[in-house]
Amino acid sequence: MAAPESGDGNNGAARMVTLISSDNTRFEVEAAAASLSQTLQLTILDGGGGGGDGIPLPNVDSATLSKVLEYCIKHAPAAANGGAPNATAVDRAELERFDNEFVNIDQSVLYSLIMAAHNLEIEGLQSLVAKKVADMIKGKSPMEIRRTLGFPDPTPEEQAEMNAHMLEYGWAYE
Amino acid sequence: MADVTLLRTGHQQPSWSDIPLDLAGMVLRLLPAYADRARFASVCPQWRAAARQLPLPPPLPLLALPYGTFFSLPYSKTFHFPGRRCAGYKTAACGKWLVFPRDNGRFLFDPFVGSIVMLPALSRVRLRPPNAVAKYVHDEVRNMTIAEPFSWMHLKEGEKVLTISKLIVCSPNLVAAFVGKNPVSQILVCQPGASSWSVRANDKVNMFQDMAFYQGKLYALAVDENLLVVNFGQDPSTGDPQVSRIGHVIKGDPWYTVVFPDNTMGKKKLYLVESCGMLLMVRRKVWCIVKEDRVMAMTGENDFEVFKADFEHSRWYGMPGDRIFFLDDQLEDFKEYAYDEDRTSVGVYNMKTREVSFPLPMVWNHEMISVTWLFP
Repeated sequence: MAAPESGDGNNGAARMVTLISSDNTRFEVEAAAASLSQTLQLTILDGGGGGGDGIPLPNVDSATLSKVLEYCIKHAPAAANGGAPNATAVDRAELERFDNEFVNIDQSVLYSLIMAAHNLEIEGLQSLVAKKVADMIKGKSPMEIRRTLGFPDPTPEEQAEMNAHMLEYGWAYE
Repeated sequence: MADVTLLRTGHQQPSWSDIPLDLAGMVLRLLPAYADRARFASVCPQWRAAARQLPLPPPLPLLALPYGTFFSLPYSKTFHFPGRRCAGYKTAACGKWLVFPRDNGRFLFDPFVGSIVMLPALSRVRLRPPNAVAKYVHDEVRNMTIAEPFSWMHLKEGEKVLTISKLIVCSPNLVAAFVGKNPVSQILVCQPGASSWSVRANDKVNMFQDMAFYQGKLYALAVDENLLVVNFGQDPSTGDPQVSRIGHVIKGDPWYTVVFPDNTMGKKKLYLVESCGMLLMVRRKVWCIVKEDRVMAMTGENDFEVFKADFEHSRWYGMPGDRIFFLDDQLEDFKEYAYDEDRTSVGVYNMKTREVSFPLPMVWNHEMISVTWLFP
């Protein structure tokens, strides 16, 4: 039951699956890591993804998929232990440090990540990015939020609507 | 899971405004401050729709200041509701209602949507029974006439003005209030917008401390820490709500105010609140010092104990707790003590370490005693 150090296999006998990104790049990864995705887990349990077949992921590009798999490989051992009741505090702290650094990236990458995590139903990754986005939003005005998340500049109508809505919520600062 | 994507018309670039509703919900649930939710909802129409449609846990409370401005916890910047007169309220009525005075009565105002609910004047009270009179007995020993039982009929007589010490909106059809002359009061009920209150005129008054609407029933807590349940009926002619019976639920084992030899003293306040599906009694001791006949509350010197209403065994059951957010409070017409500092803030009592801290950045003048919580 001991968690392996990192994604370097379970006694060398781990089952591997192949994932194919929208731009046709092939990723070979342990089934245990790919199974963090609820969607992939079903396919893998059905015996898919092995051999030369590969599972096509038409909604995820290679840059995003590589990032998603980095997360899955890191989290697979803890997930295999069922939330890791026997994980040490050191392990948990290490995972937390990894998570914090992992989402310390540009908003456009965060966007691709959360959309891919949603698509592949990777719950932990969705929560992680959602938390990062919430932290980026906290304390900011609607206009600051738009800039932080790379929204296009609002049209005059959109601007007027934003202002009206803030007034509706009572948000006129002293 | 269905991929429900909010489509943005006339816009091709992938954008945060288009994130699926459930992802928007994940982000929103991580924003407990009312201010952050309001600002989230203002970002774009799609996020506005998400904030309106999604079921969310209630946000953190707001703090209302008497001149009509608000703090949204945990932020220390004040804001106001434009075009809505929120200054001059008396207190809050459980939840989102601010209570305002009007000639011999009150009205309720919801600053979030701007709606008003009128309450009857305190001069308009329907007695039950209608022919109730103040009863007296002659005390042979002391050779004097005494009010027995001391009821609403005695309370409403005399010079002192009747005041409302607590008001709660139980449902759209029922408002309940403690009305009296400190420290005693009686429970009055009315339908919002009705022309009169209703009272059981011959019931003995009580030293009520707080009340709460819990699982469809109204509970009242008295200074002796007895928990009472208030049952309602309908006036057969008007259909207005009225108190049919007040039953005992828990017999208290009270702690009372004491003065110690070193001139310190603990003043007791009781609160009745619902938390995590339980009905809780919070016993607060405000530590004071008696100096030259003045009672001064020592800033931050508060102790709290929390008890769960154990209905099965009719007793208060001591509970461990986490943190209690509190304000220095004071009844406007009943000064029990003064404060030794000019400025105050939200205190946080840690039930594990039994220590008080003031971690939130907002601060206001102490004389504004009617700073109050709002729960949108």
